[in-house]
Amino acid sequence: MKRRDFLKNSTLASGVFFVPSFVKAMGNDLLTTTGFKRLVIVQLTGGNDGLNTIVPYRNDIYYKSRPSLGIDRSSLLKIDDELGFNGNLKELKELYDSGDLCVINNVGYPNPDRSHFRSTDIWQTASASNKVLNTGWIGRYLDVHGKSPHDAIEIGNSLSLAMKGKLKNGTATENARLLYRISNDPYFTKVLSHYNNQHLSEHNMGYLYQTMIDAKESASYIFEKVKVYESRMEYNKTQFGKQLKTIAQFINSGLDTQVYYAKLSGFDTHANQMGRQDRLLSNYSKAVSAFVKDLKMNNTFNDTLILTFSEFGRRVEQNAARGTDHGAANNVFVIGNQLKKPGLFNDAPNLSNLDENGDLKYEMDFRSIYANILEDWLDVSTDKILIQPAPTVKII
Amino acid sequence: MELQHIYHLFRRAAFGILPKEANTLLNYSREEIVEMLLKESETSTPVTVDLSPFDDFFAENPNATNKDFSPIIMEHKELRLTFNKAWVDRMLNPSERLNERMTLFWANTFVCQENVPPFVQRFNNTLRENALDNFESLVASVSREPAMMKFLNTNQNRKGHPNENFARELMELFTLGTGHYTETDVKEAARAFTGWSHRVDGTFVLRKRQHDYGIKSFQGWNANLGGEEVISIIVRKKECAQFICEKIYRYFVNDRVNPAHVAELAEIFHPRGNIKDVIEHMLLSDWFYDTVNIGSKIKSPMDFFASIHLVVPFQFQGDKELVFMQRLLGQLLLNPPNVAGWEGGKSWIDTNTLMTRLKLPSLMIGNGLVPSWWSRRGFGINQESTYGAKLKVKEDWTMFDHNYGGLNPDELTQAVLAGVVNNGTAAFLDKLPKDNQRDLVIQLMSLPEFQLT
Repeated sequence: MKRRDFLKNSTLASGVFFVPSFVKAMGNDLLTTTGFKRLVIVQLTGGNDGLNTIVPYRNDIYYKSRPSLGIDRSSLLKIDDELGFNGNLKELKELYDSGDLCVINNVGYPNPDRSHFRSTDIWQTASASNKVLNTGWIGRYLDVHGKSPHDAIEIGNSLSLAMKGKLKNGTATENARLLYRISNDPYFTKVLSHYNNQHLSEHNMGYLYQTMIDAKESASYIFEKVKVYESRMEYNKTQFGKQLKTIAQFINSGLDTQVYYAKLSGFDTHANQMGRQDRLLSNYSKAVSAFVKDLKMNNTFNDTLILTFSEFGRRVEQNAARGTDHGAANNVFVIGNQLKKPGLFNDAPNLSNLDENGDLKYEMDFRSIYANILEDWLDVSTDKILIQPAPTVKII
Repeated sequence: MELQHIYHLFRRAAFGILPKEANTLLNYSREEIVEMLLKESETSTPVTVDLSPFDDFFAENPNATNKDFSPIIMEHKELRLTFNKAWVDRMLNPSERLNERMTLFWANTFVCQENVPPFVQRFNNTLRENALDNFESLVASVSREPAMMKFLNTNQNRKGHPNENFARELMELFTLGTGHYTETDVKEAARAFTGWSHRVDGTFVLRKRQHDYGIKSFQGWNANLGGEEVISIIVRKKECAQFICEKIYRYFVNDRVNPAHVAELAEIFHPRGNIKDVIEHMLLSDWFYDTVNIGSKIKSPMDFFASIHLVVPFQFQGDKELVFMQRLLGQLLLNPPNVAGWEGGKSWIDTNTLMTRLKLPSLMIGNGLVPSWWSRRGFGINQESTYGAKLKVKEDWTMFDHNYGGLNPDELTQAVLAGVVNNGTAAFLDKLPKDNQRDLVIQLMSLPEFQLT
C-alpha cells in the first residue's frame, strides 16, 4: 500500500468520535495459531450430478440409463477398476493422488427432499427432513462459541442460512476495502453513538443497528489484517476463483476466522447437462487447486479443512432434455492433509438398489460428517449445535 | 384517515405518496381512499419498449426456426436492459399505483428469467394484466408464457419422457407450498403438461403428438387431465388459499405472520381466488394499520430507489448506472437469484448491502458528501474511488423544494421516515441544524430508519 493511502486511512480513523461502550474494543493483534483450525465450506448450488462427477464406468446400468449422458471411459481420469473422475477434474485428481482428498459416496439423509430450498435448508440447518429450523449449524456454532462477527465469513453478497444463528450471525462480504471505508464513516459513528436499547428491541430495526455494529467491527479487523498481505498465486478468472482467492487472502493474512463459506451455483442441469456441468466442474477444480496451493505456500494448509457438498444428487436415468431431474444421495469431498482415510472413503453407489423414485439411496448421514468436523476438527461438542443425532464417523 | 396511516397505506400498496396529495386525503375515509386506489387500477397499461427488430423478424419470417432466431436475439441483447429500465421508470412514476405494486409482488412469486426481449415484455405484461384479477387465470396465463415454459423446461416435457421441473415448482413455489403434494402428484402433473410449447414468435401451441392423453391420478382425481385442469384443481384447494394469502401478508403487512389475519384473507380467497377482494379486505382492515405493522418492513432495493425518488427525483445519466445500482443492492429486476425469487426482509441486509444503502442517498443526490457541520475536518474525502466514478446521476432539487420545501422539520421527518421514531434517534435529530431543508433530508435518508417502510 502506498504511504499516501495509509495516511488517508489514518486520517479517517482519527476523525472518529467517542466510540460507544457497546462496540467492543478492537482485539489485540496477536496471532493465535495454536490449536486453531479452520473450516472452508463450498456449496455447489443446484444439485450437482454426482454420477457424472465420479463415474462408475464399469456399470452397465449407468450407460443404459444414460444413453446420451453417459461419459465414455476414455475421457475419465481413473481412480480404480470401478470409478473415474470426470475429465474436467484434472486438478482435483492431483489432490486425490497426493492424499489430500477424501471422496465420500452416498451421502444424504432419511426421507430425502427433492426441493432445492428444502434440501438446501436441511443441509444448512442440519435439521431432520420433516422439521424446519431457522438457524444454521454454523450460526449455532457462533451462538455457543462465537466471540466476534468475523468468526465466520461468507464471501458473497448475502449471508446463507447456514451462517445465521439465534443471537449471532456470520459476516458476508465481497470486498473488504469498500466495507472498511464505508463503515468507518464519521457520520455513522455519530449515528451509532445515539442509539439505545430501544432500537435493538424492534426486530427489524434491531437487526439494522446490530448489522451496523458488526460491520464496523469486522471491517476494521479484516482491513487492518489484509492490507499488509499480497498474494502471488494465480487463480482462474471466474467469480468462484475470486471468492477462493479472497478466502486465501484472509487466511494468509492471519485472520482468526474459524469458518469460511462460498457458493458455486449453476448445477441444476435439467436440460443439456453435459456442457454446463463440464464448465462448472472445471471451474471448481481449477479454483480449489489454486486455493490449496496458495495455502500450502503460506503454511496455512495444515490447519484448513475444505468441505464440498451439494443439496442433492440427480436421478440415475436421464430425462428427455439431455439432462437429469432432482435426485437424492450424492458424493461429498473433504480436502485436507490430516484425513483418516484419504481416497475413496466408502463403496461406489449401488445402481441396482435404487429408491422408488429411481434415485440413489443414502448410506452416510451428512450430519455424521458435520459432527465429526465439530468434534475432531473444530474441537467443540455438538451439544446445542447439532440437534438431530447421527451415527459416528471418522473422516478426520 | 390520519396522515400516518395514509403514508403507511401508500408505502405498502403503492410506492409512496407526496405530502401534498396525502394532505388532500385527510378528509376522506379509509373506504373512500381504498376505493380510489382500486378504481385507479381498474385499467392496466402495459409497459412497452421499441422491439421493432423482433417484430420485423417475426413478420418477415412466419416459419422461422429457433436457429434462424438465435442471431437476432444475440444482436439485440441490450433491449432486455431497455425493458428493465422501462419497468423501473414505470414504478417510479406509476399512474395505476396498486397494480404496479401487485405486478412487482407477483414477479417475485412467478419467478422466471429470460433473455429474449419480446418474451420478457409479454411475461411482465401478463403479470400486470392479471395482477388484481382472478388467481386461476393468472396461473394459467403465466404457465403458457414462453419465458416460463423455457425457464422451467415445460417445453421439453414430452409424452413418455416427462420433465418434472415445471410441475414441481408450480406446486411448491407458485400455489401450494411444500408438504401439500406427493412425488406422484408431481409425476402425474408433469404428464398433464406434456406437449405444452410455443412457436418461435412466442405463441402458445399444444403439440398433440407429445401430449400424454392418458388418465392421470392427481390429488384424488382420476381423469384425462390436461395442464389447465391440473391448475384448476390446485387453485381451488384450501392449501392454495393459505399459501398465497400468507405470501400476501408477509409482503404487504409484516414478515412476522399473524395466523388469524392470514386465515381471514384465506377465507376470502377460497375457492374463487379473486385477488382484488383479498387485497381490498386487507387494506380496509384495522390490523393493517396497527402500529406494530407500520415501518416494520425492510425496503427491497426497488422500494429503496422509489423512496429516494419520491423525495428527490433523479435520473441516471448513463445506460449502465441503473443496472449497476440494482446489482449492488442485490436485486437486478428480471434476474432473480433462483426460482424461489428474492427472499426479502432481513436477507436484503448484511454488512455489505447495509453500508451501501446508508451511503447511497448522499452519493446519489448529494454531492457524495454527507453534510459535515459537526466535524471541523468534515468529510472531505474524495469519493471517486468508491462509487463516484461510476455514478452519473442528475437530481431534481427544485422538485424537492416544491414538494417538501414548505414542511416543518417534524412534518418532513414524518413524510420521509416510516414508523415511530424512537428516543435515541429523536435526540439525534433534535441536535441537527434545521435551517437547510436539503441537508436535513439527506441526513434523514442516511439513517438506518430510512431502510424501513
